[in-house]
Amino acid sequence: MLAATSMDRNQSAAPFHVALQILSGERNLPEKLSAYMKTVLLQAIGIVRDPSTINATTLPEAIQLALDLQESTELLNAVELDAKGDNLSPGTAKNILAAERRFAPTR
Amino acid sequence: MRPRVDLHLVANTLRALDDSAYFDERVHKFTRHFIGAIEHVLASPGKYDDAIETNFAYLCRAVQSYLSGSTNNEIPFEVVFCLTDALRRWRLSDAAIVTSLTEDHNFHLKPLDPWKFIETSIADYDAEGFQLPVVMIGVPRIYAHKPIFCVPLFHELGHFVDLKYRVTQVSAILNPTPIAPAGFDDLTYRMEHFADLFGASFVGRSSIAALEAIAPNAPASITHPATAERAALVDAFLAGTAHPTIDLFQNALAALSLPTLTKVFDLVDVAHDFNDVRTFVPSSIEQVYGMYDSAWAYLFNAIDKRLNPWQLSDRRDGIVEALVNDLTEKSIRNFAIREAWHAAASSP
Repeated sequence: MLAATSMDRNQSAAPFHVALQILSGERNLPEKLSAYMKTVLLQAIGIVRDPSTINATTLPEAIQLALDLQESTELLNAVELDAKGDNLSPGTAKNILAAERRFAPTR
Repeated sequence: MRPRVDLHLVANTLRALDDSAYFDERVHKFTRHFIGAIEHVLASPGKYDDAIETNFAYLCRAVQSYLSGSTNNEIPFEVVFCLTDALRRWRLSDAAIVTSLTEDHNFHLKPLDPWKFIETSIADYDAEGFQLPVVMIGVPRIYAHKPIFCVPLFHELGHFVDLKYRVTQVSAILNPTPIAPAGFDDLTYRMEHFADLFGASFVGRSSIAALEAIAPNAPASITHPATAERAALVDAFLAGTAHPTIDLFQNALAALSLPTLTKVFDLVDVAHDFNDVRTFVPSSIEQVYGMYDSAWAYLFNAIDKRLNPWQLSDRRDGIVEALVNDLTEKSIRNFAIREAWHAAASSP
């Protein structure tokens, strides 16, 4: 209520964030997590291109990512390029991690 | 500690906790499945990436402290009863509230979704279809059974609903013009305003009165609007006055097919009953919500003005506080018991 606490994203335990950590370390994603990441990516790209695609089934992490992508055309282009393949490149994963917002209110 | 060592320790603690009586039977099932997921990871060395094990261990340590605070002996039943109903109104009736009693004076929310993590990352654990979103909230121990002082929890629940659906982020995508001054964090401004409005929709002005009591005249910070600005927005909402910031959230809620922000509470006056040191008898859950605002105003009026019957006490604020909070707590509990009775009597 009074203070926004800086949230250490390395400990956020959000699945998409964990997937970014794995990919940025140049390791492979488990199948289920890979499928989840792909859904988040495609939804986020869709939202940036057309915000009216947001609906009741949109994944929360896709909305978060869309907001980050809105702020960087360069990052958006890299994500769009990678999303055509199976997974994000380690470099793009690192760039998304760097772009994530630093604050999350918990109080 | 190393993640796998911590997982052993957490599993042992959870096994001991599972013998306790939880407030909510669903929490028992959650605990058993959580132990199952931990045992699965421990039985599968090398199967999961280090990042998954590290994040899972962090999540388990967090969940453990909230489950510990959710046994029948610890949980602030009356407030959780109201928060559970509030979740239901936001299409989250499948969520369970777990609480951690803290030794500081701050209410907080832990923005984690343990089951989502297990589903997507601990892929080979078979949960047999079990799912349970949990809302992890921290309650100062000294306020746990002081429902009037727990009104900030409705603000915290607003943060949970926001994070669950990303309401304020959708508002920023649909209406990107900042509402925060230049150089301030626009997203956290939106988050605080949304949580304020959410809280006020249930417990009226008491939600912002609590802020005014804790942080009177607090100026704007990078992450939080000034107290006066937050109060003005809540007052506009309660008065039904149009406000562009409220419209931002209503548009986002509509896009997500969620309920709009509307006043849920019914205005009541507890004075007639509390003056006779009797519990108030709400006729609906909406009146239970209305009690918070009325009891808040009544408590501080009783302390400041010493109206009947409080001039008969030995004038200690603590006695007035204890009695008014007790009357409020028992009024809510009586309502909850009546509801449970009616539900049991009407079920086949």
